[in-house]
Amino acid sequence: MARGDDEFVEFATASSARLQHVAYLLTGNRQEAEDAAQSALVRTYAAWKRIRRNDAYAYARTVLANLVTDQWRRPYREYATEELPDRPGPRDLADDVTRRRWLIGALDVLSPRERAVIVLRHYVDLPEAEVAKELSLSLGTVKSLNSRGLAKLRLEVDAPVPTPRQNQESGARR
Amino acid sequence: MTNLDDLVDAMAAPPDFAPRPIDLASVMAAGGRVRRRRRLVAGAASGLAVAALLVGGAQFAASQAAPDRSGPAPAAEQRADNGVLGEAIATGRGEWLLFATPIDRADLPDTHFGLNLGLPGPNGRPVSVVTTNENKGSDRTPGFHAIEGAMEVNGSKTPTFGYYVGPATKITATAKDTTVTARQAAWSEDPSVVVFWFDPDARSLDHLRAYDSDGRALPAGDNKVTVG
Repeated sequence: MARGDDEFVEFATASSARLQHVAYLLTGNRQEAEDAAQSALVRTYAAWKRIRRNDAYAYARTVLANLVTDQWRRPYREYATEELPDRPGPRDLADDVTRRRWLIGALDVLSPRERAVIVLRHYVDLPEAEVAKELSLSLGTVKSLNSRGLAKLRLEVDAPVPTPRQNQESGARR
Repeated sequence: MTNLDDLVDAMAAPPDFAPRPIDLASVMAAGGRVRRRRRLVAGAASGLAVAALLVGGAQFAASQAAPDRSGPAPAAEQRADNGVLGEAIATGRGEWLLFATPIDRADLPDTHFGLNLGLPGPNGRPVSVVTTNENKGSDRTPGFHAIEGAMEVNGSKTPTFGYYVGPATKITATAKDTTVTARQAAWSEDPSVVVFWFDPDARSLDHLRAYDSDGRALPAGDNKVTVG
């Protein structure tokens, strides 16, 4: 096996669990997550000679995010209604099962792009500019999607969640 | 009260399933196929640039050695001509061109040409940016072949493109529940090969279909769109 292949095997072994975790958050489906992670690794290997000296994991994660978002064929929902959808209800974080169900249920409320932004921004912990780059979106769009996503999740980060009407009038909040 | 920390904690918690062990042999085999299918501009452009220089150099040398000679050095000219099979097709989308180049590989015995998306290069010769080709079976079976999805290369959007073997007069795809129609042109080397391309702004295409002049659906073949 070539040296580059050895390095790829080491990389893939070390990163596949993380990739599957990100994919699971993006899809909410175990099987889809496993398939997406494997596909991302296929394309990472195809580009290995070019990227192995850089941040190979970032490359694989970008491929993964684009693979998953490309598979969402439905129209983006965030502009389809003036009303925010039903938000997830109260939860008991003490219970892991409840917590996981709450998480996936909560993320399912989001549109595909909102979900991708929330996962990359708050799980992967990427700056908004990096999220924009990974998803080929403008920085303003990422900020807007993040705000709307958090609002849908009924998150109170630094200000009370606006009512839908307030949100319409004031635009996205940060 | 639900807060951001709760969300971050919940996302960071391990999923309730063990990650599936990756089949690395399959990953590397599939990755190798992808690698063979795609060649980006750096390698192709430098190769063609070298060829162009060789041609130019040979022509210059020939003209110096024999000023009254009517043609350029045959070997060099042949080498240049072998770069493109038939006529390049102008897509009408920016400067993008589509053209075929020969493929002669022991591991692809039934694939004899690849389809390139490229740009005008030195002396008007097209320079390949993306190459795609059939890698499963014959490159001339009826149906779609080697469909390459839209990408962004060096800041420029590339169209989804590929070729269809058969009497297709209309080729469509769906993009977010909307049907879009490809532009198409017959390949000058073999008119049964219909080269097609979509608008570069049409992304995430799938369900490609081909129709004959009577509007009847034609065999799909491999109508999956691949990127990478």
